[in-house]
Amino acid sequence: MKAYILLAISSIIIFTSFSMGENPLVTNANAAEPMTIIGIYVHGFFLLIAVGLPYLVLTYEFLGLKRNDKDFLNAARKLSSVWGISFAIGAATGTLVEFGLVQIWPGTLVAIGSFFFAPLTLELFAFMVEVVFVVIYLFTWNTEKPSWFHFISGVVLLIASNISAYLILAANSFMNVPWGTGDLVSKILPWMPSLGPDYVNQAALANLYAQLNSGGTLALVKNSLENQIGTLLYNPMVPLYNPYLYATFLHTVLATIIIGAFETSAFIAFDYIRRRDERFYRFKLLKVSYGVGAIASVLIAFSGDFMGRVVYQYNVLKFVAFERIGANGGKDPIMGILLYGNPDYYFQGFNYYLGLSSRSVDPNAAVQSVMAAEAFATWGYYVYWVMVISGILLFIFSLLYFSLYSIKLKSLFGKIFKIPLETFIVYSSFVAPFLGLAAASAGWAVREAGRHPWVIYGFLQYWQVITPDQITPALSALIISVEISILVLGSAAIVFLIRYGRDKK
Amino acid sequence: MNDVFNAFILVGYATIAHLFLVNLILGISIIIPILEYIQIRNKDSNLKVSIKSLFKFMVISDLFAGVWATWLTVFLGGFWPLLTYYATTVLFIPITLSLIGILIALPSIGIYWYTWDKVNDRIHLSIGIMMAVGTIMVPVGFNMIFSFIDNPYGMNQALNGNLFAVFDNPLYPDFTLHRIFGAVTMASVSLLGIYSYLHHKYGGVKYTAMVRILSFIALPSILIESFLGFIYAWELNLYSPYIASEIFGPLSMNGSLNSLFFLFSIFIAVISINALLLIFIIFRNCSGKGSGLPSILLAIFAMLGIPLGEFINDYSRYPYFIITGNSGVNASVFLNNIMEISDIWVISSIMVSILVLFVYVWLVYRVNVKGIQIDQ
Repeated sequence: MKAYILLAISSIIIFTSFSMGENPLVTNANAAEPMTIIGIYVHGFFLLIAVGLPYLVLTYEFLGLKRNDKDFLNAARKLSSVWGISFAIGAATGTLVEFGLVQIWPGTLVAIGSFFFAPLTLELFAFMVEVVFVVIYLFTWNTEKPSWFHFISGVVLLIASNISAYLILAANSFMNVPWGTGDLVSKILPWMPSLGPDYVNQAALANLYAQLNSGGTLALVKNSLENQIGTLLYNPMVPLYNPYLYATFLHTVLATIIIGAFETSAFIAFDYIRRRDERFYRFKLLKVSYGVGAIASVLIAFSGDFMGRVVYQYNVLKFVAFERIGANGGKDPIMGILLYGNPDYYFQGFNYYLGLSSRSVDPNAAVQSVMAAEAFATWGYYVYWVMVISGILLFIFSLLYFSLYSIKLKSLFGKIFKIPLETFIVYSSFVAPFLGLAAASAGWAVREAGRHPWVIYGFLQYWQVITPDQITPALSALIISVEISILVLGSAAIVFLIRYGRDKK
Repeated sequence: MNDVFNAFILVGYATIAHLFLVNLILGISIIIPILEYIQIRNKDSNLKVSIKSLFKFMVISDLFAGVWATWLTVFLGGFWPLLTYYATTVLFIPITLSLIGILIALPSIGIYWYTWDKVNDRIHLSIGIMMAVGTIMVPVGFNMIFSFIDNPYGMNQALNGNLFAVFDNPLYPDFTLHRIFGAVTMASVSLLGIYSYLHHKYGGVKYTAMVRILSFIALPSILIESFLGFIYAWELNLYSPYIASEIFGPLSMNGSLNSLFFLFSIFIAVISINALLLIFIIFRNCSGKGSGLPSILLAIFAMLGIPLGEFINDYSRYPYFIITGNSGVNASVFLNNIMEISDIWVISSIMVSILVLFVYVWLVYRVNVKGIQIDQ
């Protein structure tokens, strides 16, 4: 499913990009995109586990310590090795993404890297804390003499990894919503609102925009950056206050918890079915892992609402595309109620935004944005609904899980579906992780592809920051094969760790 | 302090800290498969315990090296975006090679650790060899950057599409070998010092094999490394005379006495003491007498060599960044002037890095010396 979506995204992005013209930098950027997309997804796959799994590991450890229960402690210890290997592979693939940015898209740093400086430098401090505590946590496990010190070291690690995620997402959120640039983007894309307080040198940024349009960052470099541009940014901390970031962070962390918890549930459920004599023990673990996933699945409905509102406010074209409002606009009763409390609210369509393009200082860029959004709508709508339906199903699973704690609801479930609720929990554990992965993959596809062709929305286009070195099919194939190998080997290592090192009651 | 100096010091500092750890990792990851091969052949359980301990040390070093690598990338991207742009554009192929090396090395380290005693010995050894190959690929690519900033060979060809032209840089082959053997020398000599001390202190056969094998690696390695060092010095005189005159002072073709030459003299003294101590300790070990303090001194001097050599090599280019014969391109040309680099970034980074160093030493002590319980 995920591969299918990726393939679809890659091919459509390439298709829509080709329609932009025969600029050799555009051709190069198109050639580089598949490996970048796959690399980010592979990194994301392991990061999902590295960020989300600690919540479950620490829940097990907390219960083990609180109740002096070896079962939970053993489960936490076993699961922490998966956390460790995900962290290692996440670091490796993080390097891949980092080099992708520096090497394949080097213009990003030249043109706009200063906006990423504060988040990335602060992330260094968080990463340092992570590294220190991952060593302490993984190398000081002692289930015979469990200690709260060990648990607290895990909590510190969890906080550090979440701060790290917040800071990395700050950079990504800035790419979607360049917060702190005031009215600059609205001059290029007239439908955009003012993006926070104005902490930039507007004249210098306008100059930079003109320079980039004349031939990408290579032209900018040749013209000597500092003489042409001047100081751009007065407050490097501004990307950290982005409202788009708050929603993104909440939504992403909850998604990682869902995936980590339900993937673990699937492995426990597998053992539950295979080992009849251990069913009580397995279900005890499953109730916790499924429960953590269920709580996150309920909470994500609220963070999803928050996310949807900021997308509507700051990336309205993306909203129009994935809600398939259409060229002439129309009603969307659910969104009308959610956003305005009015099911008859009329949402503007692409034509309205095309009409606004004439007010832009760069009408071509504005028109291009609307056309890219229209192209995105043809498939983005389906991908968006994959996310929504997966989320709704997980929400239903979660409500059913909570029925476990009510005798009346449990018996009602049995009467309606003719199977015990416990059986449903066990078997739905195999479906839930796929739903979580599908939702997360689709969500990120919508988020990232929805701002195409912009790298920094409304300011910097993807072809402007590509390396002038030719991205050959051989290089692309090599990098993609390495990325796929890491995905396969890393996943195999995780499965191996869980299966081979299976704890026995 | 001015912006250029601030940014230069931060990048230089991160480079030296990173390279110190990276050399340890490179050396150890080459040594570990050799040790494991001998351990499997001899079925030596004591050696296996030592290899596991050594591997843990390498993992901790690798995690911290990763931190420094990220620091380095952020500082390069943040302070020197133009330099980063040129380097990644011109040195696209070597950097890709390194990147692939990292992508092979890091997962194999994780897999190597978690498959110990869980898969067949030969398969485990193969994973170790894969780890070593990946780790070697990293300096093979990245050393092109250092060769390039000393002698920017192939720049025009690369900008015109011939990305392989940089491999013809005459400084590159010897410099890369010099770095790889330098890493093996540093790791093997410092480990020999540590294990000789442990052998001397605790006696018995626990560390005998380790000491013997490390001696066989360290001695030829230091000889090859010294030979490569002389060739590198000669090549610097030919292709990067500015660097040569700064480092070698009156010993270079057109240099004069300067402060870096003084440091270089100390560096040579450190290397010489290392060689003498190494020979002394090997003789003592062969005669069964062992040695205490000299072993510790050997470990310390072996670890001093790399950061000292790196500092001399890196600082010799200031105020230039890229050297072109007897002159260079001023560092200020590459500086990010679209953002102010305040002293607070320098001070906070150095403070944090000192903290990192303490934590690193503490972790190495806790995990390796105190031998706390391990999750395996």
